[in-house]
Amino acid sequence: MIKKFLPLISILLIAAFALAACQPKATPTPEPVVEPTAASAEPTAVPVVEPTAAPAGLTGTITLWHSWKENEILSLNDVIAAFQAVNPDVTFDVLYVPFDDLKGKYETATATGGGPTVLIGAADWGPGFYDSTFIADLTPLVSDEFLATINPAALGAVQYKDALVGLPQTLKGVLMFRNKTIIAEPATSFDDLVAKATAANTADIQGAALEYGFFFSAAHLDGVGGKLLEANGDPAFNTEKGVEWANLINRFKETGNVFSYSDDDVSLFKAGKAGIIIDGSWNTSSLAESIGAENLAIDLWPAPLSGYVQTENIYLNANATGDDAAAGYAFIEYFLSVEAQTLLADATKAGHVPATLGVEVTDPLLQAATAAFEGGSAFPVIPEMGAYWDPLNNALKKVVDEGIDPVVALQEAYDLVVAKVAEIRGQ
Amino acid sequence: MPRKTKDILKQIGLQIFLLAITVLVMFPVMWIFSMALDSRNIDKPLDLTLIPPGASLKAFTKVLTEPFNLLCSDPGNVRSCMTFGTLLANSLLVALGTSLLSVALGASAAYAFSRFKFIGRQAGMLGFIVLLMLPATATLAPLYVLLSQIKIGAEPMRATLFGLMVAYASGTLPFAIWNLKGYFDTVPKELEEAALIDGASVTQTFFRIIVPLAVPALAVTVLFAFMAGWTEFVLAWTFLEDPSRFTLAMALRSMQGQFSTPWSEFSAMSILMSLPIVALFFALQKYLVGGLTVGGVKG
Amino acid sequence: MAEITTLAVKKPQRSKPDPGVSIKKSLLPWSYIAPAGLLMLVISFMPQIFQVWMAFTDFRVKNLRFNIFSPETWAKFAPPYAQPYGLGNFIKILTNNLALENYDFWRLLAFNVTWTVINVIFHVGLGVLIAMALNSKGLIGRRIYRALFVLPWAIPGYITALTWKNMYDQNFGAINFLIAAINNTFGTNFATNIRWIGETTPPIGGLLSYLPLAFYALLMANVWLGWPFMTVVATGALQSIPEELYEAAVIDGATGWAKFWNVTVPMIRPAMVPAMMLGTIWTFNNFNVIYFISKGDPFGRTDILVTQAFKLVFEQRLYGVAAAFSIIVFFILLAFTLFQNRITKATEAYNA
Repeated sequence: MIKKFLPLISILLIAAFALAACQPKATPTPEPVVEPTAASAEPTAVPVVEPTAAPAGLTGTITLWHSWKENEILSLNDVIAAFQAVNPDVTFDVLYVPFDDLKGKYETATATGGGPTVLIGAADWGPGFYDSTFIADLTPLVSDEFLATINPAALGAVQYKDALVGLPQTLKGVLMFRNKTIIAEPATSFDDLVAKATAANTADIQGAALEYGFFFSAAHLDGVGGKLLEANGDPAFNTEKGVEWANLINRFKETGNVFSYSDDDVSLFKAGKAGIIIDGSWNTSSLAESIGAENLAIDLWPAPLSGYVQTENIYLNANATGDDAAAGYAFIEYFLSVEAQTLLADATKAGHVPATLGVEVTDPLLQAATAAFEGGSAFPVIPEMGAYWDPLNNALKKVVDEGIDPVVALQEAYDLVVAKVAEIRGQ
Repeated sequence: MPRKTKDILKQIGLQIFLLAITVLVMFPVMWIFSMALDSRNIDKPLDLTLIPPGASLKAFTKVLTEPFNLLCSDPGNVRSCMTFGTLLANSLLVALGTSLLSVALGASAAYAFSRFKFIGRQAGMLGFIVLLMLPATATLAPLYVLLSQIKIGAEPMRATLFGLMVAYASGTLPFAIWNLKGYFDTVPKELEEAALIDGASVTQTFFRIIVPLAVPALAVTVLFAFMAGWTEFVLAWTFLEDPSRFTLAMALRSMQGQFSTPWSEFSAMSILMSLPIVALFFALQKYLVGGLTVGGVKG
Repeated sequence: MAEITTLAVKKPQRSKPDPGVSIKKSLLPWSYIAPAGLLMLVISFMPQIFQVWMAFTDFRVKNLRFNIFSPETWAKFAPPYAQPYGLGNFIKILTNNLALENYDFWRLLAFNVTWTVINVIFHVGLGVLIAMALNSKGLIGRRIYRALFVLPWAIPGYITALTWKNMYDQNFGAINFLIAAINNTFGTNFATNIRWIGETTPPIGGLLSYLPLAFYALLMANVWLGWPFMTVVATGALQSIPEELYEAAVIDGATGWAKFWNVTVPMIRPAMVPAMMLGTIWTFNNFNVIYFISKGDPFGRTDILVTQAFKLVFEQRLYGVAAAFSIIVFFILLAFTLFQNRITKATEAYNA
């Protein structure tokens, strides 16, 4: 039967292909002009809002999408309630979407002309979203006085192509956590870390269970004095410093088992069977809960180690118009006010490290995280960063797990990154 | 060897073999149970025990009785959050709706393909094959656009549970039609012809003669469609925007966090979600054997 | 379960488009097909047509704003046509010119075919074997076994895949724990820190050195998942074999094996062949098992074509290339099924 159908199938498909292949030729396709669409559409769409702390007379509905967890939602509700106390006519429509589905959902919905008014999402989504005209440039809306209240380092994560693609609403990043009952004192250097960790090793306990997945170990490259990429996105890691970095990470094995994008180190730590782990700041509260906040310490990075510091941003949808857009922007600005940031920094709820200057933080772990972030390195927020993740993670795995020469592994990664960067730039 | 001894030996051999298979089948299932009972809610148990230290039904109680605080129409108000019951109701609605659409539309189309000669018959069947073999990797976005254009009242069909049912049914229909057509082919035409001579309409003969005889194949269609509707979450998370319409599969997905997963609750939820399907399998097991094979056997 | 098909379900009698069939006579059957046909046309066919078109363009995420129904988006958001000749995506895929780690189309294809063939052999072999055991006369506990053995099929695939991934963990996985338990009990000394997914040294060298340990781990998981379906199909077929055939074979002096080859195999063949083809397409595109257990690790060596296509869409947002991938998968599947059809036809003739 299939045999009989074959000619039919072929004809049908060839016809479809021919039709399809012709279409793009028939319509001359100018490269989408990215810059003006977002920039020019916005000022007309969004009535110019006077950037005051609480603009009066706001109406409309703010649809907000996020992927925050339960403890964070408590703080989010506090912020919304405080905002509504000043702006009683603004209604909210809040939707949680699992992190893995949020980006795709936002892209499809926004491309179809819909989507939320406001999105809380990862910093590295910003450039791509802006290039695809999914988010609004906030430059015409913000005042210099307002920008001056934001942590300048955090602000770097939302500046892209002379636009302000969103606002940073919290700092997050990679930290070194220590269980004080296993290792009493912080390590002062990597050698000291290895010494302290091996001294703490027992049959049941691993002194340091170190994570070396690319996201968690990339900043060590800055720590040894190297550089992952140039400001324009071209790779810069294929140097002697890069090799030094790979060798440093290979030395993690001196502490025992090492982990690449695994939760096993966290499981060990939570069970009180690991002294030191490298993990994200977002896990602080669950780690504190498992081993007791009094036993948990966040250490400054022992040289030459370092950790990425990122922001999590709040974006305004490019499709938002009228009252909704005005209310949405007012909410975004409120989100970065000292008042809201203080609510978000509540360690019993979200426990976010503030992105605004002058917010008083009392929780010792939050203070320690803030201090550690100052010794961290900024996570590069450019579309080209997408080219680095997998090639370098594979390079590290090759060096650590397979014993491949770092020079060779980094060269392979370099070639691939160059090709991927070109792909991302659409060449 | 006396026949009896031979039978006993054979029985022992069979039992050893089948018990070994049982162990293999049950090992992963037991692992899920073990994680669900673990009150520590850690990523993985640190050792191999069926009953972990401090075992409790806490995770089950939490999933069953407490609201899902992430899935709320108004996050500030716990009462607006979805509970296991409301999620279950939506899941049942979607799964049963998908089953109904698949079985009704599938049987009708399969009957036409099985019993009539008509212009475009081959082309019609061909269309279904082509759709079966083309992976739907990049079709999510166009489907989103398409279903957003169709409005039910003021709402786009995409954001409704009916939209989901239709989308899932489009996935299950090709198999349903082929399987049902194969089964209808085995029902002797003479039975219908006799009924038609007696003055029954085509529709009447279909319901009186074909449907009762095709119960196994119809049951298989229902089972497959129910499973599809019950377990899908990618499309659902992309399309739906109102938490009051969310399903159990979506809730399960929402438990898998970006950075950490509460494994005990995830496992408890997995077990609870699997139970209805397992029950359905048991209930339809006797039809499963007949309903699947005949569709294939008939060459 | 979505990728189910019964290509193999062959039509009983060839109803060639009869020139005598009038349009008027065709209206009634088409009205029966219309509801299903319309639904498929809108929900499946139109997005697929769009996907075929995307395959010839350099479709990226910004082009999602392109809307056929609104002309003003054409000028701004229509994707550029994939150079050269509109076949750019296909050429890049087939000549390994994609900027993707560990990408090698022919390795992917070889792995995908190996994966499918070995899985189907195990599914059918084990399925038939267990069906026969369950079908033996006087078996004690038949109902219980039947009920338990449907579990791997009945538990949602997403859940089982995540469970297997969890069990293959190097440090805290159930499998390594089990090996440790065996060591403790029997005093053996097997390795207990096996990297089931990450290990790159192939366990079997030579011709099979392109299959990392993860392949065998995935195979185990997928065999666990897949055999109950075959058992159900085989059970139906076994039950329809008349007892007299075996009795006649015994009279002819046939013993166990001879009975199996001369009676059982030919009798269950008509049921198993279509089921095998179904299983082939199923396994060929078995996304859940690969993606959720190994994600292609180590170094992409356990990726299959659909997981690669999925990564292109969901990690890189290269819709055009992913669409082209889908079309290539379609043609491979078509060829594969035709080939399988041939082989089974040939053996049919040989047996007869």
